[in-house]
Amino acid sequence: MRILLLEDDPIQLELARSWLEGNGHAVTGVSSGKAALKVLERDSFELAIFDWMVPDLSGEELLRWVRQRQKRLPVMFATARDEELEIATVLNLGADDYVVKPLRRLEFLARVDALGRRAGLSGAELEEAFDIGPYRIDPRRRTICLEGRAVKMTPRMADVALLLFRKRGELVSRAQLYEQVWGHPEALDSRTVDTHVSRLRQALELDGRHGWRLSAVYHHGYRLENASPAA
Amino acid sequence: MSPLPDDPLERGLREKLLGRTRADLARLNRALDACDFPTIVHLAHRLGGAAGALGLEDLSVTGRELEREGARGDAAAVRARLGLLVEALARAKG
Repeated sequence: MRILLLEDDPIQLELARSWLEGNGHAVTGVSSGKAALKVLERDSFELAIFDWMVPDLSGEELLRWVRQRQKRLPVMFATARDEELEIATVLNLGADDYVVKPLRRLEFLARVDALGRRAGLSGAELEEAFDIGPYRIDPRRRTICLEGRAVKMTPRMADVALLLFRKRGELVSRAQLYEQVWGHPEALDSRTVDTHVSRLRQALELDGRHGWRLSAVYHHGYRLENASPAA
Repeated sequence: MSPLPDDPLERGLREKLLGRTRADLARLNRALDACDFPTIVHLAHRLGGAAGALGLEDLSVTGRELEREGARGDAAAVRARLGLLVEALARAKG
């Protein structure tokens, strides 16, 4: 998973990063709440892990910001105390899970994986067909139907579409597309992604007329946006 | 499970933490003299978290207790705990 990790102590940040990377995750580490917001504005993640106590922004402010903009991003908080009131506060504010510090490697990694599973980032759920407005997306067959008719596209285009539909409403960075669709980012020209997205927009008519618009976010990536409140 | 003691990265981080905590002792004493409890809480909080994650349990417990005492503004308890921190640091191995 692509994980954003906020921890203001460089020693704990380095340690948690090494644990996560050792478990196959791609980690972006930041040491302040404001830096986390900046990164969230320009990149996309599958999971965010925030220290509840950072000096420049309260955990509450951070969570409110995330929930206003990226409703589906799973968020885990690391809290210093295992007090019932603090944990209840964290969860009531919209966090998906918490872990009590000091972090313990196996428990921490297991919670991260469990949260990823619950968010539908692995396992059988990823294979099930789903509907978004007039679109029916079938990951197993790598097909997309628009108003009941199958849209012609290459398997690579289908993979790009699948990722964008899953992350609808969120910014999907070029880096994420490279990593998750092509798997070998270093070998690619940035125009490869742009070309695929452009073809996809045309093929699926993602210009707003069916309630969804595929927009470019300058310098960062793409966002599949709901174009009509009723859609 | 405790972190692996032979992991070179974790060993390096333990050394770094011990060095930092020795330096923090002076800051903690200055903060106590100035009744600056937020600084005490902040330094103790990161000590408790980092030491525990790195398997330095003695130091971690001391850090967490110091954080609680700092949060209560209990100067006498903080002073006593700083004495225990010096001892815990002397016992700790990287």
